[in-house]
Amino acid sequence: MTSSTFVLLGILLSSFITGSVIFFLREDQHRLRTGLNLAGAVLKILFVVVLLRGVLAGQTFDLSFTMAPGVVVALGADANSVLFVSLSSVLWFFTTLYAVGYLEDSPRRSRFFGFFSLCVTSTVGIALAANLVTFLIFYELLTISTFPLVVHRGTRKALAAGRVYLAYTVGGGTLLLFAVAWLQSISGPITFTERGALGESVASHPTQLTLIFFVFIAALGVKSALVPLHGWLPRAMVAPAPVSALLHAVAVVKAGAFGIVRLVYDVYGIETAEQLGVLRPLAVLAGFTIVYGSVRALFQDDLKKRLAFSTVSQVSYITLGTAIFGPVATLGGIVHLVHQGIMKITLFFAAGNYAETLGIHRVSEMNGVGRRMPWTTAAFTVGALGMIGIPPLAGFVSKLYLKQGAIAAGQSWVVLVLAASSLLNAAYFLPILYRSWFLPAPEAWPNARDFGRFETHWMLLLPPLFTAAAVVLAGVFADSNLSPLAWARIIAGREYGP
Amino acid sequence: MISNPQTVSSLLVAVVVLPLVAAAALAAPRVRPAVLVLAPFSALPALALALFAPSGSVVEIPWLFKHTILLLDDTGRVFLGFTGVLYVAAAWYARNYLRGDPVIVRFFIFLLLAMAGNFGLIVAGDIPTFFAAFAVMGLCSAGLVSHRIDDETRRASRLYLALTMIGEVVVLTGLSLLIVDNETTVIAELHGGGSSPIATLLVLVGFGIKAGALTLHFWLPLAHPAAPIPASAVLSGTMIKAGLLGWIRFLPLGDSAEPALGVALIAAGLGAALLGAIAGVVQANPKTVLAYSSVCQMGIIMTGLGIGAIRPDAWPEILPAVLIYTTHHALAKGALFLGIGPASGAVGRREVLIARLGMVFPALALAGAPLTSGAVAKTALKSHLVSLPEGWAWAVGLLVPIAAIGTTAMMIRVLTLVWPPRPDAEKHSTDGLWAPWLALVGAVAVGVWMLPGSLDWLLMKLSPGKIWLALWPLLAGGALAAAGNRIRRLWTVDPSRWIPPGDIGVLVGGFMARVVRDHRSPSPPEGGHEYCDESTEVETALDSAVDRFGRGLGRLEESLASWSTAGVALGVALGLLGWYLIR
Repeated sequence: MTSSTFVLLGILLSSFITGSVIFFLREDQHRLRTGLNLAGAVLKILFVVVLLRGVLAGQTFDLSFTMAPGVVVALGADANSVLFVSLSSVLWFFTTLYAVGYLEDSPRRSRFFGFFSLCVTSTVGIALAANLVTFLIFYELLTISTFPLVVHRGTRKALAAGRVYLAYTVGGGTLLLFAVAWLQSISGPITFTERGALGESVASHPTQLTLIFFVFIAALGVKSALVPLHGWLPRAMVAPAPVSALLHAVAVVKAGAFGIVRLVYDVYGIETAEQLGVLRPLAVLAGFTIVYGSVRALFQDDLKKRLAFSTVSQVSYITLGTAIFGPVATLGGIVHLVHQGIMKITLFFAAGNYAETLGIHRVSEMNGVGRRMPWTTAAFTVGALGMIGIPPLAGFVSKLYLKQGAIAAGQSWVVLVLAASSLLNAAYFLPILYRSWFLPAPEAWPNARDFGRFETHWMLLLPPLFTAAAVVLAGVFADSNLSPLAWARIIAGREYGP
Repeated sequence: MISNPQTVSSLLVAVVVLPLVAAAALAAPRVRPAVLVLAPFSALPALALALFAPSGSVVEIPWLFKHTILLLDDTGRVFLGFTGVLYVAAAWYARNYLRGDPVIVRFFIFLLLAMAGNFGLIVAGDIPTFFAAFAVMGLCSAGLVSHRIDDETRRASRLYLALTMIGEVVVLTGLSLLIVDNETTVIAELHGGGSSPIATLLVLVGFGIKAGALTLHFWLPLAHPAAPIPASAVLSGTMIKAGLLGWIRFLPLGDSAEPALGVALIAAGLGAALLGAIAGVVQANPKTVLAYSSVCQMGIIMTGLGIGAIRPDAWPEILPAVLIYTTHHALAKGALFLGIGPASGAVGRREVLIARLGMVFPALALAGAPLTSGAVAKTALKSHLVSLPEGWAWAVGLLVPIAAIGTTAMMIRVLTLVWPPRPDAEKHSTDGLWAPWLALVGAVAVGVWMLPGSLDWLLMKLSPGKIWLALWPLLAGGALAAAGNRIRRLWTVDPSRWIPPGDIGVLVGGFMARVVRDHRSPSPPEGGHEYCDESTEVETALDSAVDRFGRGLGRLEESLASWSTAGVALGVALGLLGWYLIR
């Protein structure tokens, strides 16, 4: 086995094997399960670091085998994969830590963590997929492995949300299969290639390719929650907080957005997509989603629902950046893949802490929570301000590039969308911050638990603090060589020809 | 003079970092008392730079944010000077003013962060850093405004926050355009043309909100009085000047003749000066009067910028005059705000005498009495007003004296409102408020004379004719105020009802407040700290309309997400596809 194969397999198996073992653990084998979980997560990060260094040094990673005649499963690592795989493996580590603390004492933890690990395995599979077929396989696996997590609580509401989730994602998956088959029937097997993989079929089948593009968008739009395909996301918020984090920041929504990024840059190629004229409608759809999600968020009193609609809006920044022709906008979209992830996961961690520690689920219950849980609320504040785009936080950097990119591309309507979105974000986040920091706390919290020394369990407290710190650092040190922006710059550089 | 470049560089960094460190240190309960005592000192690097450092120092930090550049230029030094003085006084004052307040720490965190932002935008040499500092200052100042949680404060702070956010979004859009148009993020490379008119417009409007330009000013008389006194002092003294600095940095002043921009600035400026004067004299709250006076004074400064836009050749001489006026207004306005506390609580003959003198002096300065900083500032700026194009000269000739009369009347109004001893005033402790206030009054006396050229303007003013020119608006204002008092007493009218604080903003503000507030807040819990402010009918109607919209949107989405809709959509899509394939 070559070292390149070893690293790629290591990234996949570090969660697959631990996940498979965890299924067979007894409920009371708490330590072993936690140990396995964390060991898998750490191991995965180590493999990703090796991968990252390798890709930076120009080493190529690939691994492929033929599954059936004409169906080749191939893994590889280009700049895009590395960005997504690092994001999801690092966030997975924090989510695991958080989930361990969150689900303490709750039943069926082995089932939960088993699927949890499978879910992240599928996600890194999506990141590392080197061709369309492999992408499709892992994309479907993700759907299947997430469903048990969404319905984990087993309540009627959870099951209903699960049904909706399945209806949407399986529908999207079927459509994706159809799109892949159609595309491959025209262009032959598609291997992700920087600046496009369609080759000569562009000239011969422009109309069909245009149609296929929108079928792809309809398929990928489900997971990336493009309006009107977003309906499952706000309902899925009945799932436990770590699952929400997974859905919104690490895996599912990201997989959809990443799929769109792949489609535009590495299947069609941004220049081809621009020639076909498919970018403009996609940008309009993304712009509409951004505004619509924000407006809907404004009217939610349920905290997680508000955050869910905020995700609908924020994930479309990635799509928007992708759909504007020009390296600066690309940079803004790609970097938001990371920035949205770290900001939104912080918000969901904090929301989970409020629910677990004080029983707070609604925005209207959050009065004075800042004084009771200052650190959690500080993390929440950082995430929320980042979402609004207050400098020098991460969200500002994305928005700055998106704005500049739109102006440079001559699409000034995008600037209006972004401005409106910033104001709407402020309108639904700032009242929460005002409540939690300025208004007096109620005499009693809905369902308070005491955790002794810290404001909540340390395993619940540390993850949001780390991710909030990441939001600050990604913004403050945006121009350093280690920032997500620096990596996004490499990607943007490669997707546009000289 | 500090000549060592190394020292200047470290000071430039310290100007921003020190308040940040102090704010962070407040998170640790153990060091809090010490930090509260030391907080005023975190403005010292700014003062040191303003007083002792040479202009032209630059620090580049490529790995920070978006390649941060900090620099000290002549304009920046002046701004650092008065801003530093105000923050020292305000922080010192706040520590004593808010003694025993359970949320004094929160106040100081916001104050220190706002301070860092305010200094940061002055020394910023690149656009992203400028904007970051500007945004941090704006957001944190909202934290200062909403310090109390009574209904009135909440309305004011909602409005302030909404306007601040709108301003920031507009500014950011304008600055993004500037970056793309000029292909640079360095502020110094912007001048020399290349800005599109739309960028100029956005910069004008965005910073105009902060500076309280006409029609965008209405938040100011509501928000400034809502804040605790030391916060009002920095809001009215320095933060609105950030809008001015934004204009100086980003408008194409001195590059090319921009008649449209100039006319816009002059019209908005004169309008603000007039409206501020008229609306200010009738107010019943001294802080509201002072806020209107700020609108009025910023209007006069805007007029100066407008002339610069029309006559780029004169800009190098206008800028120092603008800086003199700005410094004068910042210090005097700060002193008047801080004085409200001691003056309204003064007991005993000695305290009362000091309070009266301490209030009268900055009031005279603002009114432009001879030999004060105001006289110098006015002469300096007015000497350029004569160079206006034909059509505007008469407007300026008419409106500037009106503004001067109005300012005098406003000052008298403030003095009568706080004139100690006030039998009706609830006695509050003034311990520890006197020293920072009087120090600031002292700064009013000396501040402006440290700026280059100010003494020349003073000497110019000393001829008898000029003295008369300066004196008659004072006398007229005094007569007006006396007449006003008389009318008020004779007819027992309350003129502040004619023009409510916030004038045009009362309507607009009501609307904004509706949109910004938390929708669907369920019925207030017992104890009633929910939004239960007295709403006007318009506001209630808007409220329910907005809520209906939200609910309707939700229902629409529900119905669209049903199986039948999805089925029909799928059928149509498949039909179209089939038609395409077999066609």
